[in-house]
Amino acid sequence: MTGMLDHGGIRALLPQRYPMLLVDRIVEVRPDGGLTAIKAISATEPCYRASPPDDTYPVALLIESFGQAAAIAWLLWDKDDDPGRIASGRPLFPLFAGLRDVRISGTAHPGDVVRHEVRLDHVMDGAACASGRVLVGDRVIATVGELLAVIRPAAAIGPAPVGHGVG
Amino acid sequence: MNGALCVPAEIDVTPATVTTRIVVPQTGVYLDGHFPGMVVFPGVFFVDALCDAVAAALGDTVELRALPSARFSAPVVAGAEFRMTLTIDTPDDDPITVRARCVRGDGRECARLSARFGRR
Repeated sequence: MTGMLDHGGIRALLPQRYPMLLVDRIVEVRPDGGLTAIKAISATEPCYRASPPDDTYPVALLIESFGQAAAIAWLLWDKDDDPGRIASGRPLFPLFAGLRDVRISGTAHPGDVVRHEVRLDHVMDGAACASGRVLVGDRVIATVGELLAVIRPAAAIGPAPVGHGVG
Repeated sequence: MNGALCVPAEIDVTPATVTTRIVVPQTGVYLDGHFPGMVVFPGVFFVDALCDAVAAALGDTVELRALPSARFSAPVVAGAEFRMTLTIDTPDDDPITVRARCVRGDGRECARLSARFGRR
């Protein structure tokens, strides 16, 4: 089975917004729950505002982008349980809980299209584990041995939000 | 070297440790999107803060090669702060191994990371 999710579909699933929404498109969804996501790197992104001498895309944002792709895989896999639980108006937030065995073997730069190959390894109640790799063309620039994500209501995180911006 | 997605309010560098204090602002270019109406310090920004701290101690020629483990155990929301204590275990080796522990202002641990860096 293949499927594609455009940016509008991604916005309907994730609560992150510009410039922290770091997945542009889902190009494949696999029967085992894994997927392939892409994110184009642009020099217009805020991390390049100060014209840093090194145009390497921040590793932190690369990992965040992979994490968001993994969250999408989780939410698409779990949709039969609660298809609209992000867009239902109940503020729920996917959060990183942990990472294991992340290796950085290359870099991404403006003009590159980063491709995330995500494996959805395990889904539990309120948490999921994923793994995979990050590529630019045929070049593997990072591998993720394990990513653990959890989903939490706003009340469990901090002060009450002032108008949740999802949807 | 990455870093500077978040700017520490204080930084103290010794040969083997770096301590930073980061206050999460109510608004920021990236924070405004994570999440609208409820700013939560992104877990990956702990990685960025770690890179920044290592650069402060060892210079900009070091680059992150691996994260054997990172655990984000408590959220840090806008207005809150945390301290990161970074220990550089092997500053003269390749790879350079470091450990970081982050504690919120209320005393609760919010992150713990181990990382390896190399020199360009």
